[in-house]
Amino acid sequence: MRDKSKSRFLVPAAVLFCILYLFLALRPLGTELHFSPDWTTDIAQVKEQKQNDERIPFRLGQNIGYFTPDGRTVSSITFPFKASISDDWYAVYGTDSSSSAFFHSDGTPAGIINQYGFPFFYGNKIYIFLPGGSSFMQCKETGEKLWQYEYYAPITSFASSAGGTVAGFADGSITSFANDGSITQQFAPGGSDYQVILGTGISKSGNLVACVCGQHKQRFVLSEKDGNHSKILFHEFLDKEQTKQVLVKFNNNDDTVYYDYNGSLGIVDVKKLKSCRIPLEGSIIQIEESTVDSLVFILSRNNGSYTVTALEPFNHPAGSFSYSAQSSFIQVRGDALFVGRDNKISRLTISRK
Amino acid sequence: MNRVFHAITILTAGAFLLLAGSVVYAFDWPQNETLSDSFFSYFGQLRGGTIETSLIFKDSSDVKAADKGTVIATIREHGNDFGWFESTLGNAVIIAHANQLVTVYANLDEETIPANVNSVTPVIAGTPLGTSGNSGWQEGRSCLEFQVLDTKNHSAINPRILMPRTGEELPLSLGELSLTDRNGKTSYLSVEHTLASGQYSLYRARQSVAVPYHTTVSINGAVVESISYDMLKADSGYLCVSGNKYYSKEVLYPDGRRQLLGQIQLTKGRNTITVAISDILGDKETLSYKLDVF
Repeated sequence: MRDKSKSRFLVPAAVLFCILYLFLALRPLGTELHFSPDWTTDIAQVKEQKQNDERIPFRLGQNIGYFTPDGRTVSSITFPFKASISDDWYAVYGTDSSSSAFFHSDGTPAGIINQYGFPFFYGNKIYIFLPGGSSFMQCKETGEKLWQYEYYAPITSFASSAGGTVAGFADGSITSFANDGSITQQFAPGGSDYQVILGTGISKSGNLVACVCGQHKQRFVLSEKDGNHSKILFHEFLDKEQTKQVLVKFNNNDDTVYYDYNGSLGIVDVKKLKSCRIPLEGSIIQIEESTVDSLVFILSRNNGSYTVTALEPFNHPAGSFSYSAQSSFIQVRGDALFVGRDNKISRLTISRK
Repeated sequence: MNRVFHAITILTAGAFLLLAGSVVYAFDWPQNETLSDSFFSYFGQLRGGTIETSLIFKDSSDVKAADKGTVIATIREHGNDFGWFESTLGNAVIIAHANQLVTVYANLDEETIPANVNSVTPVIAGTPLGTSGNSGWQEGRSCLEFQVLDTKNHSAINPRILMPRTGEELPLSLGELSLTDRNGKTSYLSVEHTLASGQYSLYRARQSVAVPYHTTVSINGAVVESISYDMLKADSGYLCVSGNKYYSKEVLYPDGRRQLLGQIQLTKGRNTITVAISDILGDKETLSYKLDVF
């Protein structure tokens, strides 16, 4: 008798639970990332530039130049040997250059670097790498020497951020510099049978340095400036070793480091000190971050094929597309992804739907 | 004086040990055999505004590993890639050897670099590494840029110490000797016979290609300065040769014309300054001047 009264309430209770669950568990469907093609421009068709144009740099094969977000190529320069370009400056130089004239993005002369070597523009910084491969100089905006660092072993990796500069060397040592050229970290990560630095990155603050280093127990190392010393915050051994130079880059918030892990993208959470990997064929050429949703775009090359992979924070692949090309680049500005492919540049608008 | 004598003893012993090391440890040619006087540019020379850490060959040739070792890195031109720095070595292969020595084969033609160096590859002496090209920074006709690094002692070693040597050395000449005082006033020893006492920098005229292996300055028979071009060390952010002190490019080659022989102290009385420069085989060129110092 007692059991019958229980089962009488069981069915209505179950129905009530199901109805409540339908309402309580209701969630809107997740939005998906969409790339809408806006325009494609040919870098050979140069249009007149306007004074207030935002100029975005490109490098495609033996051509460098600038284009605008609305799809006009405003300069395109063919260079016979070598060239360097950034948002602010560009220079075309030879393999025996004894001085390098460099120019603003609008084509007006910016200055002359009266040094032998290869100039390099990164962000708003100007460097020149000196003959011999082991020394470099940071220059002022007019080209004069700001500071210089000479070493006995060749520079095998180099990176720059708003907070400083870092160089890795063939003897397995790393030196990072403040913007005035003073040394902030100088150490050899070691831990491998052979010491060499294949890739380095420096955080926006300049306090964190990351690298891929060594052979026979190759590893990724993340270090922090700790007074006059360097403190290793995180390291992991890589099971697939490589001898090529690799890209290592911090995101805009300094809370994630991305690096090329021979066929994968290595991702390290700087705060939790945890890592993961996402398979990516080939070599990673560029890592660019969008200000919208902190999306990260990775350009990788595998033989003649390029792939752009979009990553949502901090390690969720949101999509990718591939294409064949001789040369390619990506740029990210706001909600726009610009993809260069041989002699064409396309704009894709990123949205969530 | 004792300190100077001590430093010279240490330097001489160091040079002896390096030479002794070369007897038991030697590299093969990294490319076709080259006569001793036929390289394009020599270790320690002023080149492109820096002190040269490389030995640069004159003829384009197939490049090969100088000894057994392991390929640890390749440097590549990044002509097609946005935002990468370009090494002035161009395309290069870096090999680690025994005794913590590392060799660098730079200025290679990218197309000719074998695919197997993209992985950590053991190599033997003579393993092909590519063909010399024009990918790096070069002055005139330059080909393979070859470096030897001693990572244990943090120095770039003169590659010729560890390599075979054939034929005559380039002739060395002392050229015009000059003394520059602390105020920057320069006197030429061929002209001046009297000078005020004080500290001077003594220079020879730099030869455009030949570099001495060793330079020595003596005053009244006592060696007061000895500079070796057996290795280059980085000191306080500058690449230096070793003498009584480390001398950076700014001090060693203050301009394109002069090369430092030493920083010397002239005391009152008769000073006989003797300068000797020697090549890697020890052949010397010596010159003496007498000065009355007041």
